[in-house]
Amino acid sequence: MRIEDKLFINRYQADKHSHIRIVDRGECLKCDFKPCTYMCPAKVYAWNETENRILTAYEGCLECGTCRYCCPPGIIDWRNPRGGYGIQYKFG
Amino acid sequence: MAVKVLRGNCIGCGACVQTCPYDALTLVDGIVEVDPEKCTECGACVAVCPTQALTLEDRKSQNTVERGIERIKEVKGPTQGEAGEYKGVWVFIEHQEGEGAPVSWELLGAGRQLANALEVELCGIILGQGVEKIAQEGVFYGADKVYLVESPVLAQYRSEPYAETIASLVQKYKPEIFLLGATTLGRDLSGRVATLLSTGLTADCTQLSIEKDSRLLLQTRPAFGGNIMATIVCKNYRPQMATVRPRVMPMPQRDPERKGEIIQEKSLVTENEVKTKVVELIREGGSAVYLDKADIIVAGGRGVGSKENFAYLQELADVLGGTLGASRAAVEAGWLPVAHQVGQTGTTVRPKVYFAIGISGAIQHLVGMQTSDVIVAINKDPEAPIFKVATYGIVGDLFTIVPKLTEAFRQKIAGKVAEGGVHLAGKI
Ligand SMILES: Cc1cc2nc3c(=O)[nH]c(=O)nc-3n(C[C@H](O)[C@H](O)[C@H](O)COP(=O)(O)OP(=O)(O)OC[C@H]3O[C@@H](n4cnc5c(N)ncnc54)[C@H](O)[C@@H]3O)c2cc1C
Ligand code: SF4
Ligand code: SF4
Repeated sequence: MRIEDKLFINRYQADKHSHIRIVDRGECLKCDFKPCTYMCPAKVYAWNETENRILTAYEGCLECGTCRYCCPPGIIDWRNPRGGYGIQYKFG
Repeated sequence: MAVKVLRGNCIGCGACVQTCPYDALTLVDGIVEVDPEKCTECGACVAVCPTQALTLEDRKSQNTVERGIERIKEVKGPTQGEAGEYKGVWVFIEHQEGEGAPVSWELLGAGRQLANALEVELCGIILGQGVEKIAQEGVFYGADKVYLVESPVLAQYRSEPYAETIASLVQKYKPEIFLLGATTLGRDLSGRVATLLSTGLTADCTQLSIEKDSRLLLQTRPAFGGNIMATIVCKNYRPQMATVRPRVMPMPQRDPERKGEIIQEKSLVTENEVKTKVVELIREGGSAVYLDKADIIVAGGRGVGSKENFAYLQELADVLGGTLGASRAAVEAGWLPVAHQVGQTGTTVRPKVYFAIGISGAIQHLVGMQTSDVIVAINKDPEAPIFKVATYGIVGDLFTIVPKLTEAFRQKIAGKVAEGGVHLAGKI
């Protein structure tokens, strides 16, 4: 079962704008292990080989905050989604 | 009868338990159980189960319209009393910049069938200023009569004067059915009119038919994001109002010889009574995409690889006269603007043909396009979930397949034109 299938069980009110911003993409090029790509439980982060940059599929974010701590240079600017947006846990 | 659980498939995620509006499901030892007393076979759970552990296969009839008719047979139609005074089918004719909206002609086509079934007349109603020509078009598309209300107050669409005027005419002429297109305007207007008249309204119908004995209009519409079809009737109140999705009803033949009556009516609404003022009309630029209105969509995903590579898809789209679509991944990568995104958080589309090129078919994408009439999937991974919903699947590299397809379509269409199919010429 793919992680997307599990995320589909969640309720989201996805905002039009990302609440996650990579502040300095130059740092990602230097980052060896790219921990965001495997620490995030929702697989929000993915490394794009051809474009050499991190993609953030922010809609699936569970708002756990892990990425903020896993990023070695600390360049993930993570904020709570706006009020009313983001994940909406039902029977959470 | 109740939903059936395929115990082997159930992973105990509980999605169905949360979704069931009737509290009919519970998790027992990590597997779902159904309370047949409570289950109404609405199917909401079937739609959310990620592992297809729930089915409604044993349901008496898969066709909700047939089931609807079965149930309606048990109720008495309101042929006597006040509701019985209402006769005739009305279609609201929407217009913009001097032209009738195509959905209005589609509705006249659909309305014709209903009016014939009920043996009543089919009427159009049009509001505006300088719109008599469009009223005449209504006759050409099948109306027996068109009620025409012209007034400076109605020159531009505003909810209040339109709704008030329509409601008073409905009270005067008492049609039993009143249809509007489920456009932005129609959705705004219909709710207001229905409330003024205290009658029932079904939004966004995709199927309409008549149950002859009770004269009731069976209004069928997708619910729960298109996973369930609901057939709704309005038993006791008149008119029975419905908005109908554009492009689901066939366009009737326009007959410029057709004769019909145009009846001038007056609106009693004066400018002082209207609170809404139109300050400015802003036209969206020509590049705006109307994915939900496209007949052919050529959509690309992460597999397309880069913005430049979308040129392959653009070419195919150009040859077919289609519109470009994209998965979230392609939008996220910045290859196409978000207006092109198809899926849960993008646009829900239902074109005649949907090309899914380099799209894996994540459930969030599928929910936005799986009701397309024909789905053509091109993907190098034979296990990709998109093949589960595809009408035609091609396993292979899109960079070899798409140009070949484009070429083949080009020749085919060129051939048609040579044979005299001139109407396609504009698209090449
Ligand atoms: C809350 C939430 C909302 C979401 N909303 C949406 C939404 O509205 N719309 C949406 O689309 N997604 C949405 N998603 C994202 C969704 O889950 C998927 O991540 C996304 O749809 C994947 O896009 P994709 O299929 O293009 O990419 P991938 O899953 O990466 O698939 C790429 C595919 O291309 C194929 N491929 C690669 N190269 C080639 C080649 N040369 N030739 C042929 N095939 C090739 C691969 O085999 C693969 O199957 C949402 C996710 C969440 C959590
Ligand atoms: S962990 Fe931080 S630096 Fe490393 S790839 Fe992810 S976002 Fe970039
Ligand atoms: S907050 Fe949690 S779920 Fe959201 S992106 Fe960061 S790690 Fe992933």
